[in-house]
Amino acid sequence: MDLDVSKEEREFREKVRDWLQENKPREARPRHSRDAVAFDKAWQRKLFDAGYAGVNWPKEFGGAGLSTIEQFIWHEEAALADSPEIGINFVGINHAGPTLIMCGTDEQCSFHLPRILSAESIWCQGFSEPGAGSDLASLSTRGVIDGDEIVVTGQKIWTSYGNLAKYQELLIRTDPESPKHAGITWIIADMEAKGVEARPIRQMGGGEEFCEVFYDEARFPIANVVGQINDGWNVARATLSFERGTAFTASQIRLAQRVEALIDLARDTALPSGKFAINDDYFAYELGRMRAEIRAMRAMTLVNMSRLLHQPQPGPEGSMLKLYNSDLSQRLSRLSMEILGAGALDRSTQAGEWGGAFLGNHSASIGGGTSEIQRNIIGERVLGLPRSR
Amino acid sequence: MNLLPDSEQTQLLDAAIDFLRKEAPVRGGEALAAVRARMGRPFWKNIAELGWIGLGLSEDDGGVGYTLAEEALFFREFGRYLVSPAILGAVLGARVAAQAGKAEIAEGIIAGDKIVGVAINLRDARVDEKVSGSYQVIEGEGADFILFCSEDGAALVAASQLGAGRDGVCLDDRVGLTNFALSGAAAAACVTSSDILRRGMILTAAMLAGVAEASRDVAVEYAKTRVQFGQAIGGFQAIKHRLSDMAVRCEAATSLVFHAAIAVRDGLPIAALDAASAKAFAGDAAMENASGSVQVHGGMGVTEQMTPHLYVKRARLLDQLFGDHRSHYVAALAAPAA
Repeated sequence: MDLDVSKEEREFREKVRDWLQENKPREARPRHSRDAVAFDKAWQRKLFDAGYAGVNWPKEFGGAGLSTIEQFIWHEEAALADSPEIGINFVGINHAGPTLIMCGTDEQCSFHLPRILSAESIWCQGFSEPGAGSDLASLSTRGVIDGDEIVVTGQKIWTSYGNLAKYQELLIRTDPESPKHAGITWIIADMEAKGVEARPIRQMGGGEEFCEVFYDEARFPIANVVGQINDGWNVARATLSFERGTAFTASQIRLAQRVEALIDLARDTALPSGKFAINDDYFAYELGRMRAEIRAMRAMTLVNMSRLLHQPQPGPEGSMLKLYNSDLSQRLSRLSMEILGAGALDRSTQAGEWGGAFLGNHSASIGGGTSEIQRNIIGERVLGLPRSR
Repeated sequence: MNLLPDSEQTQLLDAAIDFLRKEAPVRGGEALAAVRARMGRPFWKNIAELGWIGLGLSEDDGGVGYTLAEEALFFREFGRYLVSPAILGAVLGARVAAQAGKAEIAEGIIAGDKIVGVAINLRDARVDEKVSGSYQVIEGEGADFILFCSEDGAALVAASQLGAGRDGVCLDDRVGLTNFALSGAAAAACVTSSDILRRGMILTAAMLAGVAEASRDVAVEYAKTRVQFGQAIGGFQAIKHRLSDMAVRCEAATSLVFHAAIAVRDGLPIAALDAASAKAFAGDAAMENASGSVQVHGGMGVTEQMTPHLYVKRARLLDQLFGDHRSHYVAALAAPAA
């Protein structure tokens, strides 16, 4: 058991740190989604040109071919430098890319992976449906094989950037006769194909990145199927496990930074009694506990990392990190609302930004599988409890 | 970087677990006298011969030469198997004696010939060559020395120096509790650094993580076998989700304890924050999981026949050793940030 870093790792970290200081954008990410897309794409392109996109992706597909540890160091340094979040490239980099590396054909990999890394193609997710949320395997968007094409009809929802993406990781039902987990196929959908239409949905915090996507006999080549036809559920499970892998490193660091920011805020915020929040026994206890739990999450991340060094695909333990991360970030948001009191109500002020974050943060325990579903996964696949509802 | 035990550590640990499973099985409904007899001097002599007391001391000091990380791995098991908290007194006491140059005392403790109780500070603790203040001494009866510890230092006092205490009845009825008000009891060995306190926090946190894990394990086992409404209750989300939360607490607590042990061992700048965080969080996790385990056991959970109550009691006791979760959460806020 050690926290030692090798000479190569230290040098890589220093190189990354210097590069980020030199190259990270000075301006903030634009709020308007189309400007934000241009911003995200430009940043990803810069990473690609410098060799920092896909640190642990194979060299032959445009990655840097380095280890999981170096990928982890990259995520850490990027977050510590406060460089831009992954934004619109999330699905391509954290979902589709790793899934293709594990389950895709050579043709799929050599076409898509370099384009994902350079942000030439933006990806979105097509998993959830109005009738298939937590019960994802009950999805009913149909895929009918017609010659060397699959004809897709149905509807998806919660598709971030669906109106701006070029490709979609799409789950469709190709065999309605089989049990629900057995008749699903994971296919690469072209969002510009005829019969595909994306409509934005406005969220409670004011954001508009979510879309509904409608498919009216849209045709995709069978060559776009990733893994086997009707084996899409296993491919999708792999996809979701990657989301709970090293990508969490960055959000964990950013959460740690938010806790420190909240502690600073508590130093500057006078309570109605005139006392500063930091001097209040209740807030001191809660803030100390936050800090301790951030250390716990950090350690969990490193334990998860230690496991990843011995296994190619993240296991169900990743759900523990996901559950803890969303719970902690929401408790942090609620604590910020308590500290600010009425100050959080006015969204035109700086303090009001905490209010906006509080609203937006409600999705933390819903997106990527609700906390309830994570608890089912932990109960059944980590603890071995019986399945049933 | 590797935060999980390597193969040598796993081997070392497996042998220890085998021994504990045989010699210290956790059973519900066991008579206290039987428990105390099982955990008496012969048990102590046994574990001393296995090298557990001197595990983390250097060979020059008569120890085995492993580090705080291996000690933490062992103490997690000590927590899980409800080994007497006197193990903290022995392991830390031997270190105090060795650091103070009292080789003979250290030898006696490492050999399992001398038993060391451990004090909880109540008020006005002053620990140096003379020890003053109010204390609850855990496992003091029949002990040879008592370990006292504060921010300023740590001391071993011969039990004969303490005078008469007032015997209490510990909430954790497997251990003895005696109240003492001391004014200048002479130390047989003392050191003036916070090193012992820091190590005490880590090792107690490791025991608490073990209690949290044991509570999870007995609850999961029960939920797999107890049938109501025609199915194992672990299939119901109300139970399953509670158990999943217990699993997350264990994962967080154990990971943090490992990280903190390495940070303290290697003298990393984060050591103070990690040690406080680990002690506080592992205490929280153990107390939550232990009481949660009672709930999963339903009516049987509140009987002495089952094991959950043992962990409820042990969690509360260990939380009070080397500073409780409340004081350490507040300390975490004051510690230098990462």
